[in-house]
Amino acid sequence: MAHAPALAVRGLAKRFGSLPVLAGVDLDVPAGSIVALLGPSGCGKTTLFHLLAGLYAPDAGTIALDGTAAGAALRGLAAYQPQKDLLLPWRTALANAAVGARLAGRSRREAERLAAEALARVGLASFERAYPAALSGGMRQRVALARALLMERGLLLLDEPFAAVDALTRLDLHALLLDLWAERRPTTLVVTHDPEEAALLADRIAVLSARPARVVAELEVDLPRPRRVGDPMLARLEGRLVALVRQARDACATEARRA
Amino acid sequence: MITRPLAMLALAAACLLLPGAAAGGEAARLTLMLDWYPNPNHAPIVAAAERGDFAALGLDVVIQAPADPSDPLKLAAAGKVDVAVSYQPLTTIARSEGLPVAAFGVLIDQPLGSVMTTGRSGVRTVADLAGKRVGYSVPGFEEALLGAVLRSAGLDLSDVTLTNVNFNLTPALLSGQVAAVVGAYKNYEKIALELEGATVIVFDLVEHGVPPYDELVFVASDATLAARGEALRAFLAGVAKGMARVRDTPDDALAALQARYADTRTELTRRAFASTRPLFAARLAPDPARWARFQRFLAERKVIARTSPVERLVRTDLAPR
Amino acid sequence: MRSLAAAARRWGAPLVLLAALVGLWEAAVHLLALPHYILPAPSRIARTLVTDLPLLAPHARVTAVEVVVGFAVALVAGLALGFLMFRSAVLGRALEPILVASQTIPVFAVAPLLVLWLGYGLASKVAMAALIVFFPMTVATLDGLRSADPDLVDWFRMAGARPAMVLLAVQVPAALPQVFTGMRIGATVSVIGAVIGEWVGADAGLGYLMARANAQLRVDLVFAALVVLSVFGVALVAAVRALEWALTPWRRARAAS
Repeated sequence: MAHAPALAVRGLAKRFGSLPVLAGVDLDVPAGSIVALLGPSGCGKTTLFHLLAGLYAPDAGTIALDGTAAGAALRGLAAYQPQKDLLLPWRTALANAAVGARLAGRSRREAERLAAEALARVGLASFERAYPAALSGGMRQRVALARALLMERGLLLLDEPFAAVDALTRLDLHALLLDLWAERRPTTLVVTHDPEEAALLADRIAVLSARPARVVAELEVDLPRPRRVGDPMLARLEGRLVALVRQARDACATEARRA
Repeated sequence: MITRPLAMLALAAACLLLPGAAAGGEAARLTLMLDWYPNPNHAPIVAAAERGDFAALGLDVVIQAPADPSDPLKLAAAGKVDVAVSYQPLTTIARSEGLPVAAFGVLIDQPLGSVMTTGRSGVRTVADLAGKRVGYSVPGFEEALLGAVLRSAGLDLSDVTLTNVNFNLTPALLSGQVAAVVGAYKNYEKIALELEGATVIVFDLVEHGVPPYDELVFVASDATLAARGEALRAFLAGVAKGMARVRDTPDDALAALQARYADTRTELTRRAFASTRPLFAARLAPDPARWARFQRFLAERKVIARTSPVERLVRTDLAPR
Repeated sequence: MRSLAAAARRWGAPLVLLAALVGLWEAAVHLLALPHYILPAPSRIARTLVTDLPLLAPHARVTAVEVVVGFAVALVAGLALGFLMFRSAVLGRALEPILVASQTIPVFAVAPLLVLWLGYGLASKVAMAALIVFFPMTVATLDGLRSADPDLVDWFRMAGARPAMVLLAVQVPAALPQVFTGMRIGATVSVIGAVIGEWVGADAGLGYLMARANAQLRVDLVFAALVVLSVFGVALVAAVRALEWALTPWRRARAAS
């Protein structure tokens, strides 16, 4: 496992044609912690992740790892898990998980052994030979998690990874994610539009405005883990988050009216 | 192959949809299908039609060109055309294959097809063909003719490579893809080649062991021969008048052809017409002995499996004396 | 038992339809008294197929070789060109209009020229078959490679995968279904190409045999050769389908689940 770096984003801006998507995002993710980015849908979170993963360059601003600015070198540093599981339809669960290990430079044979272990770890030992089309949404996300794990990256980027699964499965996956995270503690940034998810997972939560996105509020979460749904402390935190997101959205709407 | 079955279905459809060729009113209507697209070989027919000879005999002759040289016999056999212009060898094959057709008149009473080569090929005699590639266009009986020609030089078909060039005789020879072609007309392809600047060498079939046969004949079905003998007799009388025009007033006969078919207004046609003029039959009646002899030749060469009594191959009583 | 029932479901309808059409044909020939030299009855064609098998077989072998070689040449060339056009945007833009224009040329017009250039042997027939198959193969390859999910491609790029891995893991498998569709189309038209080549000039082959049978007024033999050609086409398509079945197992996963 690569070393888990501290991530610092400063003034990050990006526009596509005449459409401003990010308008100066500042964000810190301390090494080995989980930060949740909470914001309305379509606010530019995916663009932020594409920038963090080095798919394309920002118009302005910097991304620094452990205090050193990183440009295109970002590519290949993060394990990125999108909302769509993005498994290869033509590969079995085992082969899909093994892709992660191959990307980490493991040999074909070793990759397969590690993939089998990882699948067992996410509870899919008996589905090694199944193709993604034969798996449920939750199972596919587990395979994708196994793949992300095997990439052995110090930086984990999760883009609404559990948005497409049912509520109960989502809770199981949260527990699984935290278990896996606890083992090696990669620096983790998770985007979500679900205040409960943010409250359950994160050490720190940043609230994003609607597009063009910037961080409008930040708060530390000092609740001990494991956190449980229904815990009154957690419920209070969720209440605050809902208020903050609503505020961000309304402010944005006012701005839009003024413009 | 798409076009072949389509063409056949079209033929079948034509058989179902076209009215049968039947006796008309005052002027007896005769439908005639040529063997090939109109060319100087057809000059007597066209001259007779254009200059009113058929009309004077009470005939209305409708001339059609075929899509394929084997179509006229099929359509005549099916009674969809009254008269087909065809070849003696093909007519003999057709009878053997069970098509109820017979020849009742002769247009050209000698083979026009020949074995032909160019000066460039290096072939000077039939014996030079050994080991060479020979192209032919109607792979029905041409190899039998070539076999006889080769035998005249002590060779047989296994000494040459036969290639079906399907009516592209001239380009095949000019491009050097084949050393010689069989079936090229000595009154047409020879001239076409000479117009391209080639030196042409012709091996005449009859001079090289092929029994003489009638290149172009008039064919009708048994049913048409039985029912419309008088119209066919009048038709041959008209053809004889057309032949006289070609002989006596050639410029007018050529003008008639070129007036009717615009694509014959070429130098090639003019020259081919001149060389074809002496080739038209003097006697319009088929010669049974000649047909019997040629049928035997085809049977010996395994082109046909069954022979027919010669009186089923030819009708001799419809031609003018 | 179950596989028998499945086979009946799969093949029942086409076989019944085929039998009905053949029956209709047979009846039409008899009822309308169509002479055999205009349209032979299926029963007559079947008899010819049996009695003339020794004549058909060597010609069928020649055509089979032309079809298979022509198809293989076009397959390799189409895959290669489709791939190059995919990798080089400039090449793709430059070649696409030329490729499309080339398809408007009727092959019948080109066939005699091909024969003059390449001779009357195997080469001109293979070229003819390949020429017809080549275009659908190239287009299928190009479109197939382009059809890869862009999010999937992005994911691999972000994950630091080398272009070769993106190609092999994502783009090539994504292209397979379309490539196989192209191959199925190609398999049927390759038969047409070879026969056109033979029709225009050849020493052997079913196209040659048909031209010859037609000139000898043996229409039943023409149709018998056509039957053999259809069998070729169907067999080649079946072979492509079998290959597709073997190489794209994931496409059966949905049905299984």
